[in-house]
Amino acid sequence: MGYRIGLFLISFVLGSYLPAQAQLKDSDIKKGKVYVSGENPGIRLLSSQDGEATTSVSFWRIIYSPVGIGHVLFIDSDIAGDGPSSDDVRAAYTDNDNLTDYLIREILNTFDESYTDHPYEKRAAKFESSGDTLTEWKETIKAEEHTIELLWRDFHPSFQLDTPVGGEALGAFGVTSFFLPAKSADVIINGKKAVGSTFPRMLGSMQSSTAVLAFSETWVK
Amino acid sequence: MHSRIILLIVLLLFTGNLEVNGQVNEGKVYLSGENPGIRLMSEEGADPTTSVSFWRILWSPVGMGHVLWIDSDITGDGPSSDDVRAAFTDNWALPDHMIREVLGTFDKSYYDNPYEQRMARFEQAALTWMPVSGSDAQQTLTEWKEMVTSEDHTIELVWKDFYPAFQLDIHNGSSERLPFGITSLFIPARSADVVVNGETAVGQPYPQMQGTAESSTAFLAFSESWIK
Repeated sequence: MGYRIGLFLISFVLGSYLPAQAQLKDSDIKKGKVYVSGENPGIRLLSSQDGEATTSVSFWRIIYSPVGIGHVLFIDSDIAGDGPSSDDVRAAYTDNDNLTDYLIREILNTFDESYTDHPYEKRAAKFESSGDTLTEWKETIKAEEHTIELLWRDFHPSFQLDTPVGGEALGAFGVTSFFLPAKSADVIINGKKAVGSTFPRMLGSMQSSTAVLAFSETWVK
Repeated sequence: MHSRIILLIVLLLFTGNLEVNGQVNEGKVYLSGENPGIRLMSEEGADPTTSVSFWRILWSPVGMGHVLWIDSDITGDGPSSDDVRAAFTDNWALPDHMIREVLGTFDKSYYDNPYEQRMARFEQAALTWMPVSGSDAQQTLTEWKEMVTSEDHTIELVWKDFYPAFQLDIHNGSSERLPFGITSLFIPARSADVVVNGETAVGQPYPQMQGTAESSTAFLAFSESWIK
């Protein structure tokens, strides 16, 4: 059988049968402790290009953390765009309470104190993804009182974010993330579509949006 | 309602709190997903008797899907009828794209000694987290298992007993041998098994230092993207 196995990182970075120069260098490793890794898509719906968000969504699917795996959806939505009213939703849906606490305490609150100044009520939920990343991606979150659907579609070209550890933004976290900006997105709560639209944004030279799938994301410090 | 909203990177980017100069990697993304691997050897430094490259792709230009490249002398008896060398997949276009655009650009063995492609089903069969002693909240990953089922083969890949995770961040253009930038969460495993139709392949993984990080010839590699 053929032992020259074409492998990817195994052979070209980690393998022992290739020249030593193919081994990982110290500079190939981002220094620091891994806090979380997974997915972190978001949506902001606005009434106009420069308007305030009427709905904001931060979704986390974590496949590695010191408190295990799980999901968290932080959502803040003025569904009808009519200002404070009884149908507004502001909550953190989760299937792992410890993960929500850990995300807030160890990561998000280090650069955004609104998580502790104005805490989100935690609610137990189930999470399911569907669709595909070429046409439309959907996350469905089911809690006792709410069914929330998040949809991203019509994608711009993808790009890779890579911020250094120790930078001023993001609480000195180094973040790597695969960004797939969406030209269109919806947030649907109990069958009712939240008002507002996504709007294009430039990130450096890359075309982005106020709705983004962010996969393969890792936070290191 | 409160419009002081949370979000992640996205919001910080929108509000301008995050400088993006030099923080968006130049280059086109070729694929993103998971890419764990296992190499089993009879002794440290020996040729592997079993090599596995597993890919769960969340995004590529040809869609999502899985590929398992496996090359196994299961019993370690040299060339024999029970050996397996194949590319199992649930998206025919994906291994073609990966070989043509990514792997085959720096490893011609994909062309010189091509893998037979076989349709298969993929299932993340088990992942086990255990509570950390003395903590109410902390958990540690103890086992990860992938199951690949085709007409002729059922293959189980198991990783256990992990070293601390570290983040790989190879910059685009930094290596002559590897013409891609790669970011990946590495979780090396002290122990791993490859089980083909119920038979555990011979050999074991061995530790390997990578820079200052303890690694192994068996590892989980999650949140991985390839850019050029």
